Amino acid sequence: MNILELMAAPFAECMVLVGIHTYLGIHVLRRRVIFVDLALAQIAALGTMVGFLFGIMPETSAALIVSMMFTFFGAAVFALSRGRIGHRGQASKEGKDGKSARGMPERIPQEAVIGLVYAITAATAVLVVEKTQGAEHLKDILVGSILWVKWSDVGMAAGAYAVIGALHFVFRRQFLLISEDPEEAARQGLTIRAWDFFFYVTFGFVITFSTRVAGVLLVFVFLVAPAIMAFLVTSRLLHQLLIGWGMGTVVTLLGLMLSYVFDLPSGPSVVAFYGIALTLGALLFYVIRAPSTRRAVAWVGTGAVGTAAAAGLFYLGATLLAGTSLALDREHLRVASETTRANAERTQKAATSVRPTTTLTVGNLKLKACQRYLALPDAETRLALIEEILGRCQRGGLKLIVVFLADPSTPEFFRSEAIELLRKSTGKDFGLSAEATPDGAANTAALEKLQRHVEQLPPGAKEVKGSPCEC
Amino acid sequence: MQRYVISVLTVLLLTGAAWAKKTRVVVTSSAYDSIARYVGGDTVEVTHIVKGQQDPHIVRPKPSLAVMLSKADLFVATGMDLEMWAPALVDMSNNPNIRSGQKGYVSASAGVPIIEKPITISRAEGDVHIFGNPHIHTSPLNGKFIAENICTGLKKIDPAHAALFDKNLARFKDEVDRRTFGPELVKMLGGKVLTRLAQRGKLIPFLEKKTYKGKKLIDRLGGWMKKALPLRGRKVVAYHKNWSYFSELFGLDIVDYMEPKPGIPPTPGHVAAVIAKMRELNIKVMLAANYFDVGRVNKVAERVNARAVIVALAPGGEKAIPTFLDQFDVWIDRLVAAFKKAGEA
Repeated sequence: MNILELMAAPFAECMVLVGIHTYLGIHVLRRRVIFVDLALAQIAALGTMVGFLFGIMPETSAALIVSMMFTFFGAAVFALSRGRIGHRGQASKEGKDGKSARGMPERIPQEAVIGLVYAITAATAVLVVEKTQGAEHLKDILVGSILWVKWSDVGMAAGAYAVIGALHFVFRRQFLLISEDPEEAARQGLTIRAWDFFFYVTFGFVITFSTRVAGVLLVFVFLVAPAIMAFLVTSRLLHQLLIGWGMGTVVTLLGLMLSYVFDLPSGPSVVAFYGIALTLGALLFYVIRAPSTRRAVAWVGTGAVGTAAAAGLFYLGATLLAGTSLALDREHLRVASETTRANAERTQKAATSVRPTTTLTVGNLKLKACQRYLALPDAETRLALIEEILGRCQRGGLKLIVVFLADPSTPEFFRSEAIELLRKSTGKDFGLSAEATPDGAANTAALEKLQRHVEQLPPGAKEVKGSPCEC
Repeated sequence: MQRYVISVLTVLLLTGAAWAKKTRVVVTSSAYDSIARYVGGDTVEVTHIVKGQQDPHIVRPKPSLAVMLSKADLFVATGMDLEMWAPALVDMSNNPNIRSGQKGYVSASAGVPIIEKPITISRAEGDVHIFGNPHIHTSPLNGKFIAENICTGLKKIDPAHAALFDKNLARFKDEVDRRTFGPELVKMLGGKVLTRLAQRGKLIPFLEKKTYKGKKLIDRLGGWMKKALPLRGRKVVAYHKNWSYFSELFGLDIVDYMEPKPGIPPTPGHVAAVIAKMRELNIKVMLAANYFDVGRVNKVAERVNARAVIVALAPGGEKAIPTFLDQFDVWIDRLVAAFKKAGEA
């Protein structure tokens, strides 16, 4: 399994995502509705959850349809919540009282509505999850699973985004105008709300599609980061697009490679790497654009040194703090394990305090077994002990066989094994039967016979020198 | 005469009171729920906190849970570090009787032979359980220990019904034994011996070696152990480390986990290594609990050309698994079917 085989499909998917999101990101930046992506993604997720409530499994096309329906509803909300005619300057000049006509009063920025929608849908998703018991799904929505994307997914995404891209190409004039200059658009006779709704529907469609695969975080970065980079350089759309795509490709490729080399989760790696790339890019432009390059470099250098110093201090402080908290942790673990040990000892004590009866009565026989035999947990281990003792001392072993056979809890198979041992040792079976219960008349008589035989044996017969005859 | 009447009345009153009041048992896992019902019979009212398709590691605190616990007579938890949320919940319930160590608290794992105790304890290893693997309910044999612990707890709370609990416990143990090993072997060797051999992984060699009445003991094996014989030594990849007791008992060889460390999402390097291993060892089956994203697991399986067996990890998690004892039938049947299909393909 090499890097190409594993990462090719995720990379292709990322490329498809960069393609459409960079373009949409430019719109979103122009409209100043950055968080609309997060809100729509969350609405789509809520749709999946609600679908789950009705028994629609996530990641099926039915779930996708439910998500889409929710997203389109969200699109309507955002289209309606745009300030009367959108833009700050001119709009506030006209609608100074803020209550004019329809739409949101101009004093309330649309970001507030978007933020609210996000918070409310996220909370609702948690409530819905409570009913469906799928907390794992919620976590997945954030991070996504770009690593698992299949070629068929990539193909489907490419097809869907191509349709959206074509729509945007056909209506590029209108879309750009309502994003850039709604005043002018209104003057030209465009119905702002309708076009807004149309825009958000296409946008929501893309977001719903991409979040399912890449997760909220990655989609957001794909949307905003290349667009910001492009804005830093130029304000011409075509150039912005080219710069965004170029940056997106390079950064994604490096991010995925880092994820592979350092073995980190892929989505979050790409996101974090975008952060680094943006910071470096911004610094570079600061230096290039500054009136005095030398001063700018000096400033960046000071900043870098300052950041490094702060990081060093933080490192020291954190290590110190970790030391103390680790000590506390260890103490906690020690107490916890001691409690467990104490509990275990208590249980053990309780178990051993109920000793099994040491004497057995069968017919006229009163039998006693040694502690070592009784301490063994079951018939199999007891029989092994009997065999061991029998090997060095016939009398001791046979004594235990009597106990073993007289014990009503000894299972049938082990009785037969014991009788087999008896036969091997003495040459006869005294009429004992494995199937008959020990307290049955026939077996009792046989056991008594065996016991008499054992008692007649000389103590220590066949005894191996040095080791005791009893157990 | 008067004394006689009084004593009869007292007995009637007492039994009446016992009839009216059932022991309220709250358990964490739905597996403990069905065991508690079995042992407690009609004298108990059991509710569980973690549903069969939920992750037992995470429970979001809800007011109703505290209310439920505040009325509980008996609280059954695993007693290891699986339910980290439980102590806080017990605190919230303001019910001192069910605190750890009190009469109304049962640690289900007491006496269970715990496996996978960590050698080093470090947060860097992911969600490590410091006392060993706490997913004890994945082996039917552990169920007997759990039932025993619950029985002990019930007897403390409701001594009047001690005889009933003991009887039910014996019945439960017998049913577990018979369904695990088959009635014939249980009759011949006894559940105790079979359980000990199985838990030490020595049962199958033992049965293969020994003969009784002219027939090899292994040919007399029945129950889940027999059903799972085709799984013995077969290699699978699991998603999370929660099948250890099951795989150990039935000899399933879990070669690796999709999660690089318990509770941490898969990373490319680890996944590449797992896929390489799956190809090398020709592993065609994956096993996952249904509390993970089913679509995700299927996707993984598809990418590595394997068949995903996705089952509820605990009773109630799907329709086919209403009680503790049913889960083993479903798990084994699906795995055997998956291996059969993978073999044909």
